[in-house]
Amino acid sequence: MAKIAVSLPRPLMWPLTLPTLPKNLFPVLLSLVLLGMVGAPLIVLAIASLRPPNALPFADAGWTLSNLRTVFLEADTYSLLHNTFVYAAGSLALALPLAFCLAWLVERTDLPGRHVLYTAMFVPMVIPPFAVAIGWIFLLNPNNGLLNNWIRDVLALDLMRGPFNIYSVWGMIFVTGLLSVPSMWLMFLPLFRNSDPRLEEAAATSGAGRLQTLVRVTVPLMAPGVLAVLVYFTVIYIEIFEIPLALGLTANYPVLSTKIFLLVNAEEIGEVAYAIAAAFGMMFVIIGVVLMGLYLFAVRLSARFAVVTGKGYRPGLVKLGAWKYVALGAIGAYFLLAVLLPFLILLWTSLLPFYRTPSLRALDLLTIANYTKIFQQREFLLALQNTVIVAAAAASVSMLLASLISWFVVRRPGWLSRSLAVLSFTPLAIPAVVLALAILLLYKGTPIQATLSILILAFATRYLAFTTRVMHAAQLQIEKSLEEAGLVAGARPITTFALINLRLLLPALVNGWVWVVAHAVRDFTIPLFMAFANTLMLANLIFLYVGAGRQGMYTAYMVVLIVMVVVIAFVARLRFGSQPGSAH
Amino acid sequence: MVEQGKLVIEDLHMTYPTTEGPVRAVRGVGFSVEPGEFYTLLGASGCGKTTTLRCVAGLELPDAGRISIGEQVVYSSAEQIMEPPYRRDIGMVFQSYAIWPHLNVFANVSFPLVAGRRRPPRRLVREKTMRALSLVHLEALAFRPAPFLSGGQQQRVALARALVAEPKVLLLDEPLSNLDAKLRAEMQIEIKNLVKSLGVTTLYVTHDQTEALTMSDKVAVMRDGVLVEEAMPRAIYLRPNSAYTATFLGDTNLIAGTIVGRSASDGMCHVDTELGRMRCPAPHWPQEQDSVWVCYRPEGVSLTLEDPQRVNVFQGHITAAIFTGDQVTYRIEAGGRVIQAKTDPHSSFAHNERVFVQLAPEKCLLIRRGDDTVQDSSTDR
Repeated sequence: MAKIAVSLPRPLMWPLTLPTLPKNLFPVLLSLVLLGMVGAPLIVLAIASLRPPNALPFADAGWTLSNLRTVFLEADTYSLLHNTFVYAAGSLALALPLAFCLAWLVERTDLPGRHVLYTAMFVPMVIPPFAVAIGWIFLLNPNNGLLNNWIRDVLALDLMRGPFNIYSVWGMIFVTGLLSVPSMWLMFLPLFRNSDPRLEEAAATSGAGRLQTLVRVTVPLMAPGVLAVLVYFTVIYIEIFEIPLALGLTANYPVLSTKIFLLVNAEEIGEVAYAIAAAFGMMFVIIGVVLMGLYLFAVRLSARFAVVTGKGYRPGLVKLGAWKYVALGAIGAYFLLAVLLPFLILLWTSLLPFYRTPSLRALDLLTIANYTKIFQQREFLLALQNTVIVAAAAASVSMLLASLISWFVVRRPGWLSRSLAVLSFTPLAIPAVVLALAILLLYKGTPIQATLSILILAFATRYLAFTTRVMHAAQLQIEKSLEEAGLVAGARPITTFALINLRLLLPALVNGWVWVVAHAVRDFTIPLFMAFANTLMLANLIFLYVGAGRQGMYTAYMVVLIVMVVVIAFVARLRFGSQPGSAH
Repeated sequence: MVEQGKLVIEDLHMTYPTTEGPVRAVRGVGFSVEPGEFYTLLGASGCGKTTTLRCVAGLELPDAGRISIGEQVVYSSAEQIMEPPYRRDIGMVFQSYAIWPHLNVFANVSFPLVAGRRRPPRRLVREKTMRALSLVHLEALAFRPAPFLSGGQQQRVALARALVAEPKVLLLDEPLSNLDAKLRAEMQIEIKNLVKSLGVTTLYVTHDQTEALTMSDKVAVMRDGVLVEEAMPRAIYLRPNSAYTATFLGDTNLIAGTIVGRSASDGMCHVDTELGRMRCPAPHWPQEQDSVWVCYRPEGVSLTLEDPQRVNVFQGHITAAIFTGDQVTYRIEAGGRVIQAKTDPHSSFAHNERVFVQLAPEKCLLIRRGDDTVQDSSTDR
């Protein structure tokens, strides 16, 4: 029996004539840019970790291993890690089934209103988790949380506190899991959209029932893609900061990210422990690198199952029948918990000088005084401007880089492309808190240290892994012959790229861009580390008011931020977005 | 109607990497296609035919050789020339059609005129596009979005797109392999008539010999990167030069034999075979003691119940009778080996029936017997 030699993927040509620009010029340039964005902060981190506890990395303060010893050898660290992983695992267990089922419902069934859902899911995606956490504090704090009160009344429980306590790892998991459903769902969509339903039809015609097909065909085909998403979110959960900040500190449940924040935001300037924070950062990075390796492996696996072809693409839909009410009910419950309840309580509070339990009497006290105050503040307008500029610029830079990188990685396989891919995923291994810290330290003393540029740089770097992943997955799905046909039809490579490749990538591009803008606007991590004086963003203002306990003000700000972000996402999708399921 | 171009390929070499190491896909292939000619590269998977076509298209970078389309040298390793696909005057139909899903039919077909090298004014674009669509009978679907087309329709769109810019050379990479049998048969004739009426030079790649024989002016058989034989369809089928070609194209009976004598009077020679003594027309080359194959097409075998009293008649019995609709295929054991015969569907010899097999001398073909392996030795048992 002859062995079949498997042909390795051959690079798409980019030749002009034989003696011409070195073929690798473009990817080499890209690599240098990436190295600057990603490698430099890592190096600064390493240097910083070897300095005495309070010293800056480039200060002339000598070297020491004491920080690394503290971090790697003390028992405290490992209980910290334990906390972090339990929190991550719980959030994953909550979010994954929800997101997967939802993706299936949207892509493969006749769920009514699934087009609306597609737009509606952007709302929980763009709401700042910090705000939602604060909202849930109003709802479920053990003393006077609104829902706790109601439950106690309705069930006639004889308790002083509870029954639920949002200040716990369960509370953290609950909020985190709920809020990560939209992003996870967004990553599952391409898996469904581009997996050939005829593969499932083949199973059905071979006699497999719905469940059998699901278990033996659909799930295994998607398994690598699901694994990739799983690993990606594990890294996210490990580094997530806002919810542990809002809930974990009071719950006495520290995780790695909050630990680093505390080290860097000590009250006294002299006590800021950059070096130890950097040492923790190094450990964080090592964990991240291991997970990243796993992620790349999963992505490589899922590439084998890429399917979009130039012919015969027609998805079939499952009829839900009476089950659609169950599905709609579940989706309604999700939105209630993830969006409506926290938002309403924030809205309520923002219309009062400080929190009061909602009641008919309290209705008389409602006022929009907080809002008028906000809009008259100079610092609000400045923060708004900063936020918009940073978000849009970071999204554009990140998506552009991601498109170029992904094109090279997919069309020009080789060692150079592989290193490009690895470099672009590296930011994933660097938690936001550590990245922010590293970039701050790197550019301290340079002209750009107090400008919006480092914020843009930080955000673009932070989201590079996501944008590259999205564009990579989208690019993989475009059959090489679609581009070849363009070349043969007489269109130059740039024209082919723009008219065919980019046009087919447009849905992914738009989705990705909006995702980055939404995440940048609502982010509380990078602004809290890196924004000062005249580069303050909206998140900073909110944090200041939270620290001061000004409930009316900070809830009003949160409502403004939420509305702003929702409007952005909505408008962008209406103008540029595509309907699900169409090829346009 | 279409500017004609001659396609010349000289000494083409191409290697590409695989998991088992580098594979020499094209080894010194050279041929030329006259202006307006329909030339087919025929061979099994992996023989290098598609790679050769892609080299002509400019989608692969060969190792060495020379390719010219009309006056333009598009590739030459000696002169360091490599024109990219978008600078070659070609049209190509891909095996998967490569119809762009985000465009409608009109936009797909007009793309070469809108985004290609030569961009006529808008009015002319519309005219040419509709004309190309009418050539493939798709004018009515001009504004349908591409994903809503059937396979056959997509294939026609691909064809129209390849022809709309009136290229010098049309390249087709197994365009019919994904169609059902009936449609395939129709499209073979349609494509052939279309390109002939336009007079465009055509290079066609396929593994299906029926397609090759039906459509081509010339057929070239490729094997393991080498061009084995090139001839017109009739010649390559009835008078192949090698056992490989004989067995690749259709079924054949290959009977091993040795020349034992020539007859000067009627230009025949005597061949000693496992069946017995045979008389065959002798081309100039066989000498006595030469080893030959006697190549005999099953369609030419005649079966009778009584001895016809002619030369080249052998006795045997039927071991299989397979009805295939337009023919009946028989396996006859004679002289210790199997002979395959194909007759019209009305014949009805029974299993184990004793018959006489006649292999008419004028239908015998002698082929050199060396150490070349045969394509399919199922008749040689």
